[in-house]
Amino acid sequence: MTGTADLKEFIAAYLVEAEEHLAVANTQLLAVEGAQKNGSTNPRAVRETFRSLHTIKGLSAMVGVEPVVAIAHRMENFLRDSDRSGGTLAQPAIDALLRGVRAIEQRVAALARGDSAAPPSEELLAALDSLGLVATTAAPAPAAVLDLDPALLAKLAPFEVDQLLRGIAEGQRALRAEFSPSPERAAQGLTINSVRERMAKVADIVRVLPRGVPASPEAPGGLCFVLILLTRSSDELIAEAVGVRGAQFQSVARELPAPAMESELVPSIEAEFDGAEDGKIDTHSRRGVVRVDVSRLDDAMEGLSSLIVTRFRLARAIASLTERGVNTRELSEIMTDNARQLRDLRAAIVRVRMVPVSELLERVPLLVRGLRRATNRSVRLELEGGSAELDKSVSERLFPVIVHLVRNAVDHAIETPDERLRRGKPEEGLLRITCGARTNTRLEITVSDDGRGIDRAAVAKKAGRPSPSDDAGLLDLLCIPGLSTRDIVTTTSGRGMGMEIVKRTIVDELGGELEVHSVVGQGTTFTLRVPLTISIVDAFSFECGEQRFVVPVTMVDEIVEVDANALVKVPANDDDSLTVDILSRRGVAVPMIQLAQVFRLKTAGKGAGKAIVVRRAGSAVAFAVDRMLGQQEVVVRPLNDVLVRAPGVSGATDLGDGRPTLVLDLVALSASLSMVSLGGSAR
Amino acid sequence: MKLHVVFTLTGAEYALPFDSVLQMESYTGATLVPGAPAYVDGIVTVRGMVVPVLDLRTRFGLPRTELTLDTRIVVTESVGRVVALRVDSAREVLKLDVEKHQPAPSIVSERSSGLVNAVHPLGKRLLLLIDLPKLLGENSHDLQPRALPANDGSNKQLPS
Amino acid sequence: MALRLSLRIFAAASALDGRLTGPAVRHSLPLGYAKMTEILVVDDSKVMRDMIVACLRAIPETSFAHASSGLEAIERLSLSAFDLLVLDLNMPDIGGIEVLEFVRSQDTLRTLPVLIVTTRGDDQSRERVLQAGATGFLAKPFTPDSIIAEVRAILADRAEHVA
Repeated sequence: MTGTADLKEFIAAYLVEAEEHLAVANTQLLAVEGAQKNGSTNPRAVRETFRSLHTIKGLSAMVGVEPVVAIAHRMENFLRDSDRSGGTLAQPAIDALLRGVRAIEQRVAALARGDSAAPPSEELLAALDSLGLVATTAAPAPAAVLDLDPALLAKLAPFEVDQLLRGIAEGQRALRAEFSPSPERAAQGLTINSVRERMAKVADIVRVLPRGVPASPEAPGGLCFVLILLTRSSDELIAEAVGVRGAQFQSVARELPAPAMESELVPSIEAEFDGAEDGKIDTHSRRGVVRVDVSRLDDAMEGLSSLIVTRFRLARAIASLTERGVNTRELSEIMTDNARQLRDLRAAIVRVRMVPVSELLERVPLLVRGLRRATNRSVRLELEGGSAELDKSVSERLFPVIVHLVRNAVDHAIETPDERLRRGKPEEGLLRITCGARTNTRLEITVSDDGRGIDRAAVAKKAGRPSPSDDAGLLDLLCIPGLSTRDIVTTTSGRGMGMEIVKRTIVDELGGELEVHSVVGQGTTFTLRVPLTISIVDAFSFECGEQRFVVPVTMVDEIVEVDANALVKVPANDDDSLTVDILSRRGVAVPMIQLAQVFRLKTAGKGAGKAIVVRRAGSAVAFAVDRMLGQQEVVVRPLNDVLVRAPGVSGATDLGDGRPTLVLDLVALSASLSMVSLGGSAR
Repeated sequence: MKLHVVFTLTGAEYALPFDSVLQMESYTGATLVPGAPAYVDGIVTVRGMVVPVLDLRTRFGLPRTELTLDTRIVVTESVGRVVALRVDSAREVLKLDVEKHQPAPSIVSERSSGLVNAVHPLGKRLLLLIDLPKLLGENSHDLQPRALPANDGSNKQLPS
Repeated sequence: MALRLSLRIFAAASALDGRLTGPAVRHSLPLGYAKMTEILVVDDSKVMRDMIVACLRAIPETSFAHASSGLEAIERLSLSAFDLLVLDLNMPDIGGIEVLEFVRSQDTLRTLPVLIVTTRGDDQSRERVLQAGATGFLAKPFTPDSIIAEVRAILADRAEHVA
C-alpha cells in the first residue's frame, strides 16, 4: 500500500524463469534441427521457440537487463517472421539462434553469480540481424474433410488442420470432447488445466476452443471448452480424463474425395492480425512440478536445524525438571513424538532435494552438439537413463564430471571420420552414457566410447612412470595432476587436469568409486559409482591450533565471543589437569576449556577467539577455539578404524583441499573429560 | 612364487605380500587425530577411503624422523581393516619363493614384539617379513582411548 | 480515499445461443461497506504476474487472482466476477486477442474492463488491440507508475459509468 514497487526485487525469480525458457528454447531448436535432418519440418517447435524468446525479452525488459533484451529482440523478430512464413529454419539460422541462446544463458549465469551482464558482441547481433527466411511449400493434404462446426473450424490454424489430417491418415481418431467448468467440478479438482493435463496422457490435444453456451446446471458458467483431439485411446479413457463417464465423442473426420483443404477454411481475424503473437500453441502436458530455488531448500534446512537446536534445549530443560523431582513423563512422551516428527520432516526436505537422474542427462545432447562442431568429429550419442533420483548436491557435483568425460571422449578418444573408416570402424563414433541405480543406495554411471582406447605405455611415458599392469593402475596414472596425453592444448578439453578433479569429486568428495576399462583400438569405458544420498550435515568450520575442524550445527547451543578480561580462572589442583576458565553468559557461569589444550595442539594465543557452547546433561560447556571459519554443508564419512577412535571425533570430511578434516562431537568430548562441573552434576 | 612389496625402515628391508597391499603413495602428512595412540600419525584420504596412518618406526620403537621425498605410505588390507603404514621408502616389488622363507631369529622376533615372524634371504640381502594380521589385529588389544589430561596425569607422550 | 460502492446487476439469462449468461443478480451492498476491486491478472509468466500485482497493490482495496493461460482466464471469468482483466497477448493455447474477442462476445462480460499488456508497443498494434475491444493498452516494459495510472484511469471511468 505504501510506495511504489521496485521491480529489481524480482531479479532472482526472473533468473529462474529465464533459465526455464532458455531450456525450452534449446530443446525446441534441437528438435527443429533433428526434424530437418530427417527431411521434415517442425513448425510447432519454431513457434515454441519464438514464444520462449518473446517471454524472455518481455521479462528482461521489465527488470532492466538490456543486453539480454538486445539479443532476445532480434531472435524473437526473426522467429516471428519464420513462423509466419511456414516455420522452417535454415541450418545457419539454427546455429545462430543457438548461439544467441547461449549468449543469453551466459548473461543469466553472470547475474546469478552477482556479476553484471556483458553487452552482446556486435558480431552476434549482426549475425542475428542478417538471417534469411526459408519459404516452405505446403505438402499436399490427404483426402479427408473435417466435420466440424464452421465457426470452430475457422479458428484452427493451418498447421493444426494439417496435424488433424495427417493424424487421420495415420489411422488415429479425430475427436471432439467437451468440458464445462463449474464450481463443483473445480472443487473436485477438475479445471481446464487439470483436464488438459490428463487428456494429454491419452491423446494429442490439437486445440482447445472456448464456447459460450446457455447457462444450465451442467454448465453453470455458461461456458464450454471444446477439445479437438487425435488419439488411439478408447472413449472410456478419454471420458475419464474429461471427468465425464460413459460419454460418446464426435468424430471430427469424414471421408470424402475432396479437393485441397484450403478452400474450406475461412480466414479469421487472428490470421490477419498476427498469428505468431497470439501463440496458439498447446503446450505439452505440464508435469506437476514446482521449480524450487536451491537456496529455498537450504533455508528450509536451516530452519529445521534451528528447530532441532530448540528441541535440545527443551530436552535439557525437561531433564533438569526431572532431576528436581517433577513428573515429566507426559512431557517426555511428547518429546519423543517431536523427535520423530523432526526426523520425518528432515527426511521430507531431503527428499525434496532429490532430483531425477534424467536432469543430468538432459544437458548432454547440447554439449555433444557443440563439441561435434568444434572438433569436426561425427558422433552419435546414446543416452540411457533410469528413473533413479539423487540428491541435488550430488547431481550438481556430478555434472562437471560428466562434462569432462564427454569432452575427453569426443576430443581425444573418438577418431576423425577418415581415421575411423581406415580402421574399419563406422564413420560415426559412438558415445554412450548410461545411468542407473545399481543398488538402492548407489548410482552407477558409465561413459563409454568406441574410439582409440588409452595407450598405457604412452601415458606412462608421459608421466615418467612404469607402465601400469592393470586398469586400476591406469586410472591412478590418468589422475596424476597436470597430466595430459596431448602436447597440444585443445580448446575444448584444456590441460587434462580434469581427470584428477574427476577423481577428487567422485571419490574424495562423494565417497564413490571410479573405474576405467580401456582396450587400445576399441574404446574406453569410465564407470562412476556414487551414493544416491549422502550423509550431509550442516556444520560450522573453525580453526584451532592451526588445524581445521568442523562441528555439526545441531550440536551447538551458541557461539560466543571470548572476552579475555571477563574470564575467571579456576585454580588448578593438579599441574597436568586442564585449565578451566569461567565464562559468564547471560548471568550463568559456563566452564570454558581450550580445545587446543584438550587436543594438545599449538595454539595462536589464548583468550583472543571464540567459544563454542554445547550442552550435556543439562549443563553448558564452552570450548574455546581460535577462530570461526564459516558454515557449510559437509559430507561426513565415518571414522571406523579402531586405531582412530578417539573421544570427540565422529568422522571426517573434505572441505575441498583433498585432506580429511575431522568432524567433532563436542558433546561426547565434554562427557569424556571428567570434570567437576560447576552446575552441580556428578562426575 | 609370490609377489611382495619391499620397503625400508632405518636401512633394514621389509617385505609384505603384494595381494595385501592396496596402494603405495607418497606421503606429505596426515590429519592429526587427537586421542589416538602415539604410533598413529593421523588420517589420510586414499582412493576415497579415510584411512589411519600407522607410523611403523614408532610402532617398532625406533626414533621418529622427518618426512622426506622418499617417505611412503603402504596401504594394506588385512583382517577386514585398511591401514596405511608409514615407511622410509618403498620402491621394489619382487617375486619371492615362499619356500625360502625362514623363521626369524629369536632376537629379531623379540625386538619387534613378534611383529616380524619370518625372514627371506635374497643374495646378500635379508628381507624381514611382517606378520600383517598381527600388526593390524594386535592393535585392538592394547588400544584404549587415550586418556585426556583431566583424568590422570600420566600421559606424558606427545602424539607428534 | 473515498469509499466506492458499486452496484452490479446482471441481465437475466437471454435465450440466445452462444451468449455467456452468468449469475442472475448481484445484490447491492449495504452502505458503508467498500467492496474490494477484483483484478484477474493473466500472463503465462509467474514472474510477470507477480510484478504486476506488486505494482498494483499500491491501489487500495484491490484483490488479485491469477491465471496462467487464456483458457484458464476464460474459465475463471465464467465462475466468478471481476472488476478488471489484465491480459498479456503472448500466451500458449489461446492468444490474448482471442480471449478479448470471446469476452466481448459474451453479454455478461462485454463491459468488463480489459487492460492489454504486450511487448509490441507500436501504434499499429495499439490500434488493433483497441479495435478488438480493449479498454486500455500498455507496452512492456512499463514502470510501476504507468501501470498504476492506467488502471486507476480505467477504474475511475468505470465507476462513473456504473454509478
